[in-house]
Amino acid sequence: MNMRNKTALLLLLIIAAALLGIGVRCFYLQYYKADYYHEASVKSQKSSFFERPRRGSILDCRGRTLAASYKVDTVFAEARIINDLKKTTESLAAIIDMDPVEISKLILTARNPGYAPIVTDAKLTDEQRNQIRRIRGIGIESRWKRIYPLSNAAAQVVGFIGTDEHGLAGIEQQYNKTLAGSVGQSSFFSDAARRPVRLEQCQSFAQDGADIILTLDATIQQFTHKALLKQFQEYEAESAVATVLDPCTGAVLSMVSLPDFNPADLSGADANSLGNHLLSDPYEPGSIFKPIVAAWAVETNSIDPNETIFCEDGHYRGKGFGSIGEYRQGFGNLKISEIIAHSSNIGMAKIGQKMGTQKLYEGVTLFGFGQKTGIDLPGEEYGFIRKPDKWTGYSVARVPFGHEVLVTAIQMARAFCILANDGRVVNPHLVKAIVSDTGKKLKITEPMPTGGFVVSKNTARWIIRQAMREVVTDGTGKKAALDKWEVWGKTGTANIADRTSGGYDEENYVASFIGGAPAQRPAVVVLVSIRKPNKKLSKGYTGGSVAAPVAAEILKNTLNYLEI
Amino acid sequence: MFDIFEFLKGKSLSTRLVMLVCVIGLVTIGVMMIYASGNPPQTDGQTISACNLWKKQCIFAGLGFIGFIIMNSFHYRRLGGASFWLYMIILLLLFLLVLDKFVNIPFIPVKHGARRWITIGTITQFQPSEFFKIIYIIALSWHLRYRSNFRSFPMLLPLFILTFIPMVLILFEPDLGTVMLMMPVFLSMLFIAGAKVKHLAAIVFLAILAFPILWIGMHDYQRMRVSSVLLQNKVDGSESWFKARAQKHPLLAKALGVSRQRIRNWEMGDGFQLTRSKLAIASGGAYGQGFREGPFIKYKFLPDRHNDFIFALVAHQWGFAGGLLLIGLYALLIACAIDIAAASSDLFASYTAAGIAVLLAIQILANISMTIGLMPITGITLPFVSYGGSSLLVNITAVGLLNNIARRS
Repeated sequence: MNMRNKTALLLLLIIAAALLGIGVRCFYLQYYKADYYHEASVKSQKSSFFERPRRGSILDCRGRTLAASYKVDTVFAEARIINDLKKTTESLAAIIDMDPVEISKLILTARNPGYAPIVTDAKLTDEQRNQIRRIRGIGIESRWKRIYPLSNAAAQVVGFIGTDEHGLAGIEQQYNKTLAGSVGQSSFFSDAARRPVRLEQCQSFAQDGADIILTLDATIQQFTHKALLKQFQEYEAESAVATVLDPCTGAVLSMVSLPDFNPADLSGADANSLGNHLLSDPYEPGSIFKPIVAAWAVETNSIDPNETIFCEDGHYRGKGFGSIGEYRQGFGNLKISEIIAHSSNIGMAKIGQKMGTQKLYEGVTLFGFGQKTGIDLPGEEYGFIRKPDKWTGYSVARVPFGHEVLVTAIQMARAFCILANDGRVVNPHLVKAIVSDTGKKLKITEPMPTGGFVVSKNTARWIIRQAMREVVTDGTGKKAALDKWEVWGKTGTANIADRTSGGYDEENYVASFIGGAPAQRPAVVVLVSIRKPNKKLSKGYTGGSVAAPVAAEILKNTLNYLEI
Repeated sequence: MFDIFEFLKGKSLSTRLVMLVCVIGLVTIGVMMIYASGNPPQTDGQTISACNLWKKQCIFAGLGFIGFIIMNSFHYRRLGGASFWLYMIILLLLFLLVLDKFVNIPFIPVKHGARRWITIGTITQFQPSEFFKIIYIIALSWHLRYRSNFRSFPMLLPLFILTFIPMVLILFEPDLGTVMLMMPVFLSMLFIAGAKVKHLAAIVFLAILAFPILWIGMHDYQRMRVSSVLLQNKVDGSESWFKARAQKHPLLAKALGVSRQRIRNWEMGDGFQLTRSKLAIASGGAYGQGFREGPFIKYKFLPDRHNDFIFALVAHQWGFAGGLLLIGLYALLIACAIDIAAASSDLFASYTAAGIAVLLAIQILANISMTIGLMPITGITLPFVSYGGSSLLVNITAVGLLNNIARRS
């Protein structure tokens, strides 16, 4: 082999090696990594476009807005495709009335090269929008913004939505599907300049959400919120709830849980304020439980309404049920209505003992305790009623005055509605009707069929007109009295069970009042429960002194407003 | 009397036939690809619709084969004799292009900020730098046929002057790609001719030393193209080490020669073509999307796909198999050229043939490498396949010259 052939061979080898290298690289890209690149390629060409529907409004029973959506625009810059920054910012500045230097600063300091927001949540005119769209590298993104006119006042009932427009609490969560509507989706191919080349397919058009009309009345809601909030702050309570119901239908006219939050701005909201304590916070009801047991005892003929019971002068003790005392002073002989009016624990214990475990359990269950009321809000708890075979001699003497049971405020309100509704069953509910975006009725809540009686009409009327009326006229609930209407009700000052010691916390109470007016034909039922009013303020802590005045104010305003 | 089939006569017919088949195959692939890229019609204000580009390519292929036949109608040594004058003419044309920078010359259009074309008549235009490549090789070979011309360092100097005058002129067009292409051709021809390796090594070493000066003197976009090789995503799709670092360290960004802003926007800005080209090739897979099929054919995802990035189209439509076929044809062609160079007893002929082989090889390597992200993007076209009249004409004519040499080996 001569010199020239050697050189030629060397040259050939070098070139062959280089070509081989290219071949290997191609093999790597096309065969080994093909799937990855294929995916990336399709992704880079295909763009999806989502058309967001308008979320349905939530209205009160008179058509006033509780939650609604409107469109806002965000002007943003896609920094990576802007070639002439000066020209771009100057032409944009002229349209939206902003300093061009400010705009360039926003674009240059943006962390995402594809999205640098310049103006957020602005309301632009159509002309501005068209002008902005013509600038390369600047885009407009519209989104729906949710407003809540009642703000904090109806926060837990109406609820709120997350950034993805998904309802996360209250009606917004419960009826999320109805309110949300459906998203319109279409996908298209885009070219090198990312202009749409061809619509690939239009999967669906956007369908606006349906509107929901509630039984809630914005005015009553505001009365309730205002009255409760005043007391809540004055007594430095941990939490407080209040609700107004129509006892005939179970329609919720107002529902407040404190502390509250602003549904449009959740900063500062915690679990205590986000939760709806009416539904999610079972507690031992205390004395407000008495009228229910008393009514059931009369209904089952365990006692006679005109009977008198000896209340042991405040000290009742015996084998199998321990020792029971009164809250304040002891009593001698009391009529049944007086036991309710003066809230005698010993009287109630004796009624319970007369009835026996089985009957008492049956009654408590019939009034709906231990079960969900089925109200159309998320997060409702069952409460807890022990099964009768687990009851002891202690239980049968304590359940009648509201110990050893766990109930929710909404269960209490419902039980009182049953009494106020002549013993007929009612179910609390919030939604009155659902109307589609085209105005078609989708659902209307029908009145409950008046089939089931829990207690007879006479018993129910006796407990309301006689026993619970006396509470307000002569008993513990005098502060709930109104001149214009005959108010009836029951106070309660319940101990809070102390989980650590197993006994009761002597410093903290739940002060409650449930009642209604007028006594002859109850139009509304009001529940007020204030948890842990600060006893150290020495302003009082009992249901009669803390909760009853709130109930009176709510009743007065509501009845005036309803012109009853 | 002029004989059309003159080129068939002479020695080593089989090598020449293989070579011819390779060229015809490559030109056919090129025309098919250009035809495919013309669908759908591209309307970006070009005087000639891209739909008709494949027809133009056919015409130039025809002209190229006429050049091939003419090349075989005389003894190649007559080219050597005329090489001085050819060289002067091409130098003058290159000088004219540069002159246009200062005096507006009507038949020199400016495209993308570069003056590379001379217009003849109304629509026909040619690229002097394409013709320069082949003329330079002939002139250099003619000069190198005496060993005394390059065995000592002082005698190398005239060679460098011969090389650098046109290089500087082309650099002014500007056409950095062609200059980068000619340097290896120059060095490898010196090597083949038998220049002392230590001389060549000294030259290469000097060039490396001069690189930072060149780097600073480069335009922003040129620096960005070189940096792009480092900035592209790794094969597994993760961000490259250089891109991540350069965004944080201004010094590194400065060393890469571009602003941080541009590095951050690399994918949509300077790296757009490379990213898309890789996607086009990779999405071809093993057997491709099919002729005139695939998203990169149907939509304008890849700019310049019918000329500089035509390899991406081949790989997209015919997959790895198509790419391999193309590379195989080139390998065969270059092997033939080197065989001819080795077989010729005439030193001038041997150098010329080797020079053409190296020229083709480097163009192929540079072009395919840039489409797959192994080398910076330059304006170097893929011989015989890319759209471009001058390039096709010159390349086929050059193969004609190889044929002429082989006949007389």
